[in-house]
Amino acid sequence: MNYTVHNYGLDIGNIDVSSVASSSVFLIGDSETIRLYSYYDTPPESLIIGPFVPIEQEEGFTDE
Amino acid sequence: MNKRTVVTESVHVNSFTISSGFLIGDLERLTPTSRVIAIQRENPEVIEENADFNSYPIFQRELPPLLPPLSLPSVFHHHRNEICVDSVTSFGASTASTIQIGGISYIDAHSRVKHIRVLSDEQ
Repeated sequence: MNYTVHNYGLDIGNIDVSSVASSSVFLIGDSETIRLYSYYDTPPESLIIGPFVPIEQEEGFTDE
Repeated sequence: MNKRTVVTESVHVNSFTISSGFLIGDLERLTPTSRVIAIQRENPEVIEENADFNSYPIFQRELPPLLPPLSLPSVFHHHRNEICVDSVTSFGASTASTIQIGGISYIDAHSRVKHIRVLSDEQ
C-alpha cells in the first residue's frame, strides 16, 4: 500500500481549549509518531475515613 | 518528513504545571513524564514527609507492549507551506501535557496519577 497525503491550505480563526492535561498534546503543525500513556488510579480503597493518612514515607530522601 | 511553517498571531495560556510545556518551533523528540500522588483532604495541612512512589502498584505497573512500528511507504505533498491560525486561548496545560506551535517528529508522553481522598467523618 502506498500512503499519499495532500495538504492544501489550512487557515483557522480562533481556537479556545479549556485545558490540556494527563499526557495530552495540543499541536498546531506536522508530526510523525505520537504515543501518549496515562494511568489514573482512584480505586474504592483510596477513600480513607479518619484523621490519619497512611502514607508510606520515602527512605533516604532529603528535601533540598 | 518536511514540516510546514506555522503562522500564529497570538497565543494566550494562563498556566503550565507539572512537566507540561509550551513549545514554539520544531522539535525532533519530546518525552515528558510525570508521577503524581494527589491527596485530597478536608482540612488544609502540610504533609511533611515525602510519599514513597514504590509503595503503590500504579507506579510499578509495566506499560502494555508497544505496537510494532508502521513502515508504510508514504508521501506527503504540502501544496502550501504554511498553517495559519489567528489565535489560541487556553486555561493551561498540566501533567506531562504539551501545547506546541510547530512541527515535531516523536512524542512519548507518560503520566501516572494516584488519588487518595481523606474524610474526617463518615458522610
